[in-house]
Amino acid sequence: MSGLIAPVARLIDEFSRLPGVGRKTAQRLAYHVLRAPGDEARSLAAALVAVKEEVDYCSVCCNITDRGVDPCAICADPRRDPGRICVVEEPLDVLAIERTAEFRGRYHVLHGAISPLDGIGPDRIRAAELVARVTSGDVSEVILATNPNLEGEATAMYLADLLAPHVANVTRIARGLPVGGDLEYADDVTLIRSLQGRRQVERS
Amino acid sequence: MRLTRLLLEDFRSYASAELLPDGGLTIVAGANGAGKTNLLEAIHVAIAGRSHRVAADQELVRHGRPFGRVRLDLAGPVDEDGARLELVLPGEAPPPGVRKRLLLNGLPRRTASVHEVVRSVLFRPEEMLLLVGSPSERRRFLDGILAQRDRRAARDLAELARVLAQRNALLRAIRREEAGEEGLGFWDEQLALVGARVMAARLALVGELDALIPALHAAVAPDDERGGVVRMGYVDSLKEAWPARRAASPGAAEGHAAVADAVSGAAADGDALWADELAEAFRRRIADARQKEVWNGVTLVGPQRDDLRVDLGGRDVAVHASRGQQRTIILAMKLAERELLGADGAPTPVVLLDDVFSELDPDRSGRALELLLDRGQVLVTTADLGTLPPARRRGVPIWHVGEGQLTLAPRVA
Repeated sequence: MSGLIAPVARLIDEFSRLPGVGRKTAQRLAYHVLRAPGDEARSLAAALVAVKEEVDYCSVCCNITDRGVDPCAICADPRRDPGRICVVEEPLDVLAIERTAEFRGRYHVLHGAISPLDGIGPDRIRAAELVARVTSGDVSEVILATNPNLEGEATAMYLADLLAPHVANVTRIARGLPVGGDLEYADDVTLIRSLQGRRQVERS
Repeated sequence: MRLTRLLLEDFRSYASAELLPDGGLTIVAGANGAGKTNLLEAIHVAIAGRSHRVAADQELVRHGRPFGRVRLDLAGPVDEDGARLELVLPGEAPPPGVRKRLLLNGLPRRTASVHEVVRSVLFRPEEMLLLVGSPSERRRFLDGILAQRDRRAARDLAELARVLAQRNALLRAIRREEAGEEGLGFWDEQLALVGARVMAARLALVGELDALIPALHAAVAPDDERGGVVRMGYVDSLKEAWPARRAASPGAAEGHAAVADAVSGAAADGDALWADELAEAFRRRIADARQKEVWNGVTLVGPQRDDLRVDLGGRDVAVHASRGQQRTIILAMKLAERELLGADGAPTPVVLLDDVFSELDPDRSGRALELLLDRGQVLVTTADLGTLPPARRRGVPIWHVGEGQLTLAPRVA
């Protein structure tokens, strides 16, 4: 960039690589760092380095874990049912499901979904690790909780085929209306899915 | 609903502009390159959701500006409220938080919901090549109608595009031996399902066009030019995988129309049944084409390869009709588009004629305008007021475009 001294230009370049950050935002971030006290910049730098150096992948579920903590806290927790595995695309999805405190099984993180457009085939997601887990352990159910979009469905379908010989129960999370929402504001596809997935009323 | 006001802010060549269309005919005049098309484009983008001219929305924003805005004020019939449609388009460097937004009466809406309130038919000069141009032009004609009048079809068209992009990427990867054929199964099935839905919708539409066109054509064609009945037929890519078509279509031209008839009947009975049969045909066809698809690294089966065939007196108009005959048929097709979009209680579309009268003689233009103005609104752009039918110019507001400004000329007495 013209009119910028090299270190600032370099920082702007680096920031603008981040997802959701455009040129303008990158510039604002860079000048913020420039004006911030020295230790703030240093601690940001340290945090950035630490995220690469102190984070590892759990050898069981492939989720991120602290360096040296393997298996991760969830996989090591004896109160959690090892026979039930919930398969998700990203570590953030684990957090979302954990927030519900509803699921007491374990996870498997794929780190992506099948998308030929992005060059992500079955070999680029952690599917082999999942099969290894399922064949070696006593797993009664695999819940496929990939995103309800085309790529997530492609991934779920692929995994369902892959796992069928090894697990009795391969399930897919339900799709439908958000709780507390209004029917009239639901988009068409969600409404169609919820009609298709309708259930008998449970009477007490 | 009727368009009562168009407001532009940093859209294309306009810093700001206001146009107050008449309830009937409105004329926009100006030299070539003055920005007449931009006005019609603004209306069409706000209603149809995207531009027919550019792929990236930011190109619609005036150069160097952070964002652009299009606002349409609409008036309902006497007993109904009006509406305000507003489209915000981010420019090259939008301020934080500014993204593409479509607001109806101040509330964010999807394009599909907007079509329940207002619709538009845009007639571009390039469409004069609709019949001799590539099949993609004719598919675009069909899909443009489907996308506005049927939100299910609009969704299916978007999904088809996505499935094709993914499937083609996978086929290319297989050709480079970077992926295996086993991964195709899911995308094959998605293509069969969404392909069948799109094709069923298009078949039904072609059946409707086929029923509408002859009368509209007869209304605009000069007596010495008719040359027989205009028929429309759908040309699919299913080949022998779809025996039902064969039974319905013994010959070429009449056959296609017969298929359309047969299908629009079937579609009325239940799109779903029809789509099931087509999906089964697609599965067979996809299986047959497997080797060829892998060699070519591209999807060879599906509605993205289909065509609309138009016959005049039993002969293909792309080959056998004169330029004049073709133009009259295209005019009839656009009139049919207006009829179909405004049918079944839907809002009568705003008709946007972009400099098309320079391509038509005054006789045909006059008849077409009569038909369009019997109900609904028409906006016409022209570089030469002389190309407009003189009887229609009287008392009509004429807006002049020049140097990014829009001014209302005194009415012609």
